[in-house]
Amino acid sequence: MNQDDAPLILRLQSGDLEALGILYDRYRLVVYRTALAIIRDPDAADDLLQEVFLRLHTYAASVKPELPLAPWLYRVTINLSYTWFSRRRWLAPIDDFLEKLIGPTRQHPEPAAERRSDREAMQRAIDALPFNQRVVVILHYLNDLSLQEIAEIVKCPVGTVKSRLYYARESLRQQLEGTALSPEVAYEFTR
Amino acid sequence: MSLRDSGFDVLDRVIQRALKRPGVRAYPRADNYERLLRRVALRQPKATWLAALVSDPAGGVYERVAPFPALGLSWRDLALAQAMRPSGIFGSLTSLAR
Repeated sequence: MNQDDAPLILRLQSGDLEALGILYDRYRLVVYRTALAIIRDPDAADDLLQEVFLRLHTYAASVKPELPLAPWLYRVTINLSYTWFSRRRWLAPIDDFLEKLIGPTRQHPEPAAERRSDREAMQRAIDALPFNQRVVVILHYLNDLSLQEIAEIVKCPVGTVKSRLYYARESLRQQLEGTALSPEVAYEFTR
Repeated sequence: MSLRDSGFDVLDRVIQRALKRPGVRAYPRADNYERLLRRVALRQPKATWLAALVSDPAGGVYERVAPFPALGLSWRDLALAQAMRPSGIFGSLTSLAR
């Protein structure tokens, strides 16, 4: 949370594009990495990053300078990611069809050995979580936000956030049981 | 003291590691901000041709709006062509003088 945002928001409200640039530099990584963790597509995350700051520019007048900007940016990022998923649900069958057509010639960017790693297994398990649980996990573990902060961003009670995090962790633990995890992690899961 | 005893489960560590090392491009494209500015410019309210005529920063009452960009004609050229027609103001004056 940056207290220096207030003067920049005021400048943005008066149409100063330089203020938008400073805010972009300040928050681009946070927004991009949050979007990337949710939607797992770098190009779509780029587009989403643009869209978040385009909205900041468009709706600058409704942003309260006395409040920190980060929660507003997180909220817009999550809402846009949800919209992206909703649209993708309709396009998924077409994508699958195209994938089947071009599949054999397409190279996966990561080597096979890395795909088998704990990290990849965990990433796939996180991707399989319901959207609400995934968002809480990402905000908590990637952005190091407290349950209270997450509750303010997703606009629900702290108890709900706590419950989503609990069920997400349990789900991850169950999904990763029996996968080829490192001995240390596998031991923890079987205890 | 084990990781579980310390209050930080191994599961937490694995989740954090997976999220903080995404395995794909971790930075936005360098030209992303330029593309954003282009989109911002497209969304700026566009002046109407009338507003453009009356608020020309150069002080004139002409131009800024090119109705026929392919031909390189401005509103002034259009008005001149209109006046030079046989039924325009110059054409009418010429016939009168004749």
